[in-house]
Amino acid sequence: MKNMHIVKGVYYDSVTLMLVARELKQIEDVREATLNIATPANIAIMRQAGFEIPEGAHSPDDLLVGLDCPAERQQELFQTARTWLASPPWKKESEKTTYQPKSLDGALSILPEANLALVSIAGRYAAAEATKALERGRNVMLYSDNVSLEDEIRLKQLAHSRGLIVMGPDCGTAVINGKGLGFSNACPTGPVGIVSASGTGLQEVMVQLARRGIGVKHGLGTGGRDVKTEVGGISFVDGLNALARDPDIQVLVAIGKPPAAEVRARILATMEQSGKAGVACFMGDRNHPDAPPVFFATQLEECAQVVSVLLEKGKQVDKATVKQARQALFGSYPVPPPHERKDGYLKGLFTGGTLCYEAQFMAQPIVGPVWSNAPLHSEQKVQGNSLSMAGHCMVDYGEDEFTQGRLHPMIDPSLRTERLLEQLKDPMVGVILFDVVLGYGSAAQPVDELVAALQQAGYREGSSFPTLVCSICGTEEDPQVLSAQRTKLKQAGVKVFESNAAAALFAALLAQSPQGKEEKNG
Amino acid sequence: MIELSARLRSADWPEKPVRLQVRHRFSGVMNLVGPDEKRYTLLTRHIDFQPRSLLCASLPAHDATGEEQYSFPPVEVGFDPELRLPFPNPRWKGMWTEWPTLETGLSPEEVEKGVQLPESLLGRGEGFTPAGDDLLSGMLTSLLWLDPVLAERKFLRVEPMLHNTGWFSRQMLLDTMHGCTWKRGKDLCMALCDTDAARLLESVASILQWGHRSGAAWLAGLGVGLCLADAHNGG
Repeated sequence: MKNMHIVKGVYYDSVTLMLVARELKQIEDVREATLNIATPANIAIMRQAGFEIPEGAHSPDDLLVGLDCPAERQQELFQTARTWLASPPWKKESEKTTYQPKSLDGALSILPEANLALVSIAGRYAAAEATKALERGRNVMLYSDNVSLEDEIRLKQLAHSRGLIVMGPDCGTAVINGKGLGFSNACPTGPVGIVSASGTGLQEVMVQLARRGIGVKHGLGTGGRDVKTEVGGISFVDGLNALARDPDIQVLVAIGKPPAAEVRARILATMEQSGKAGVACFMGDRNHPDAPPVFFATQLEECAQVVSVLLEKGKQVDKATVKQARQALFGSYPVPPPHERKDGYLKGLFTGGTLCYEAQFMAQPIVGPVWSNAPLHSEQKVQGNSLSMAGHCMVDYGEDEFTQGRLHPMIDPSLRTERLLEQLKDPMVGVILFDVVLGYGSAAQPVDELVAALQQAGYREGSSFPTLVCSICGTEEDPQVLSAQRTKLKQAGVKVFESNAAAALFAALLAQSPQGKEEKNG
Repeated sequence: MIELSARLRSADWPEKPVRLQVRHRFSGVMNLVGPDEKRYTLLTRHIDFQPRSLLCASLPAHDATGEEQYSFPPVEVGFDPELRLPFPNPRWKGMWTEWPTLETGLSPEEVEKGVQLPESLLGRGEGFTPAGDDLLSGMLTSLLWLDPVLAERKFLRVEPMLHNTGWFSRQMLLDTMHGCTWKRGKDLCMALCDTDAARLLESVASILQWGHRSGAAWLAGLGVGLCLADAHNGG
């Protein structure tokens, strides 16, 4: 029996909610347990899973506890959930043997020499904490999302006026002196400096550079809105200027979705004046002719390829050499044989926002319009509920609609796994493309749940099921170990790529729009 | 007569044999009551030192519940419960200002009321020493340390109302009123006078290991007292 319990006016962090749900599912008789803050997106997800949630009986300050278990055990298990929420039984005894400061001032008293504060709290409180950090002379990495645009502008202007930088909001990845913050991969330190308005874009470029034996000294995130007109690229330009002053950095890299025109002009002018070679990778942008010392890329792996040429050839590099390197890369991407092509739609289910965006950019010229909750063009935005995926469609499960009161899918990919299995059963679907992002901060076992579910569903490569294509962003040194994840996926029948662009191209070439069938979206 | 295999004693442990009766017995600690109704404690771990306590190799094996004469060979003082300290290092102000909000089992409203009327916290909360008593002990420790005048004013009505809590808590609060504290608390206060961040963090962690929530409540109280003294003395 599926029953919904509402707890009014409480807040728990999303890690606790995930762990309590996971523990409840271990109990005999519990078929499903889900705990979510009552945001509209979470309500839609829970309703789709079969839980009845009465209209108007809740607010985003409430907690929803959905339990699928025998009726006579509902109350007992609900009380168990509440007890565990109040005092998690899995909390290690060792946690009591260390003390972590609970406030910025407490942390600064312990580490007065720190020059960066990482703020990761609920969005509505994040701007106030970031302001405190700036006022105390610290740079800020603002991991939190759901921070207003007005607050972002105010924070960045305050930082700029004090010679500081705000990375974020919604900045999930940064690298300082070779050390990763937030989501990051185990990559070497080296002569490249990156400013990125996209988190997984930064990760993918760093991983591709690592495969070419190249390291990154600093990777500064800015948050995606920084390059929009309203913010004006304040952090982006300040970040580039800071990297330009660093004598260890030989090549500057700028990564993001296409910026607003005036912001692009500021970024490019800063790169040109830096005295260093640079690569501007604005994904999905129209092609720009290279203008040394600045070269252009529209894909993430291409960006890494161009950087490797710039480092190899130094300032003497010419446009023809770079062009050759690009052609060599694109020529190396595998193309599926005609007999493997599938009659059906291409569906993309992503945990990394930039990877989703790049995949659309790669696929759209081949399959036609691709719908998304984070589309290339606004007219291709999925209308209403992003859970319904009609036509060629790619969904970013890291978008705000899915992460309010819920863990980011790179940490907890269970929702994406559920949705992927739904797509697997759909006869209209030909190819399913997805990503797996490894590294610090990501799930410890990112593919185990999916692989088990595929085995249970009887998935086999080459069967009538849709073809599964996956890109892995990660390195052998990452905690999850690239080769271990690759092996698991391959054994499950998934076609695995180590480049998002290559995977997206392959998936798009596999998918052929279904004959005589049409799904409407938008 | 019970002979104790003592190793060290607190400075206030009586030097002559004393008649005591067992009140509580735990795995590594035994609380006894003396003719003056005061608590005396036998310990097996140095970190658990407190006023009127004796560190033993092992606890007496018998299950005596009646009054017994306890004796021990002369041993050195291993802990002085009196708190005689310089001022805390202002560098740690950011730390102690966050302690009053620690999870103690008491509501913020109860703590807020307790700051105004300390007697309202007597016996409040669950546990061997209720969280309210632990918080009062911490608060009184820092006030007596830094602002005895404010301490006396704040706690004027507490002593006559000590019957509102249990014997063990009452003894803890009476010791605090006489300027004595437990080893974990004294270590922390000493670390607050120092410049060593690692030492301070270790001391805080040690306090938090004390009881289920006793340490957190004592720490919250210490933070309340430090903030009050700070505000009273003009920041």
